[in-house]
Amino acid sequence: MSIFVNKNTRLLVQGITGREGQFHARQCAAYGTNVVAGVTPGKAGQKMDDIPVFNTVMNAVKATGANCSMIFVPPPFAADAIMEAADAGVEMIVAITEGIPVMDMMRVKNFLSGKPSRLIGPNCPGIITPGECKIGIMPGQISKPGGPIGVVSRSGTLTYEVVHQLTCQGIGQTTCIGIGGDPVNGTNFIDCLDAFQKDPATAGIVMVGEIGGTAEEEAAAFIQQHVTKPVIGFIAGLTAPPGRRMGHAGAIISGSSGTGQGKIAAMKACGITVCENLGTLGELCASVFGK
Amino acid sequence: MKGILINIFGGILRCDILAEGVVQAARKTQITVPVVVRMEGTNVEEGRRILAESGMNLITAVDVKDAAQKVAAIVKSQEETA
Repeated sequence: MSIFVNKNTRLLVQGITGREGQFHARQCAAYGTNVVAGVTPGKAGQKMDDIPVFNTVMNAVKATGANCSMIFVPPPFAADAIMEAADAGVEMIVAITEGIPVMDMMRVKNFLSGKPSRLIGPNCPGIITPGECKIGIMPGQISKPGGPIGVVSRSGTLTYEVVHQLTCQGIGQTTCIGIGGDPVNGTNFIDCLDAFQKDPATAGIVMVGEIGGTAEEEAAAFIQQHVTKPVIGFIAGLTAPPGRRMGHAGAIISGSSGTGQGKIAAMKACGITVCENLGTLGELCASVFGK
Repeated sequence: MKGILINIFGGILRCDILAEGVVQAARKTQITVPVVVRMEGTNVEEGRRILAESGMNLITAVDVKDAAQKVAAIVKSQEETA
């Protein structure tokens, strides 16, 4: 079992003829993902390897039954690409693009509300159900199929770090999701925690947060009330000076809110085991989750 | 500055491109401080090969803990001999 995506997911790639879109569409296909279509306006009728390219998401969905889209469209056009996918009824939209204007994302959030589509990202590594499908830019070979751990993270690189350390400890993963580092995004920690709690194959959860915003505090409160599975937490950016943005648009301490220490305290108070040394996360997981 | 630690887990960034960049920068700046590089992820084998064949004095590490310990040990031993 897994959450959100599995071996039956049929993927289309928006921006498949671009440099990154092409490289990562190939990587996803090589991992075993069903990459059924690509979309680049004006390039209908072409093929990328054996994958047919369409002008619009609607045409691609009609022709191939795609139910998931991975977006590599440049920032000025990415919001429109997300809304086009939702309009075509795509259930799962994974937006990799970094640098989409916040105003654009506010329009997207408003557009998506009440629609059945789920957005992951933007500015995220994507989602992988090891051994079944990879939708995103994460290295596939570091993950280990079969569960029982779910991973959810605001950081791309730290998702890989966590997954790699779990795998090195012989612990597999059900699904790993990077929710992205932007201040306005789609799927949040709570959506993922709720899905992992309901997934019978997931026995424990690793949650990687970072400074800025209140997502980790809200997630901690949710865990205390609704999650019975063990959760290990890590907060990135503890050494960041206040007022300075650290890599992600959303990772900034403003005034007294969004500090790492505050998040760690909130997580501990809600029964989450907090890892304070990234290098030992794998070992901590092995001791908390067992093998 | 007594040591540099580069830690990259490549996703969209390919390790071979990163390794090329590190080698070029090290050559251009004639770097004298010790550099510890830890790489994992996309195209990591190619990246490790580029570092190994560069002929530059780049110290490699297997994981983030190893990298931190190596760079700390190097800097400490410098301070002791100074």
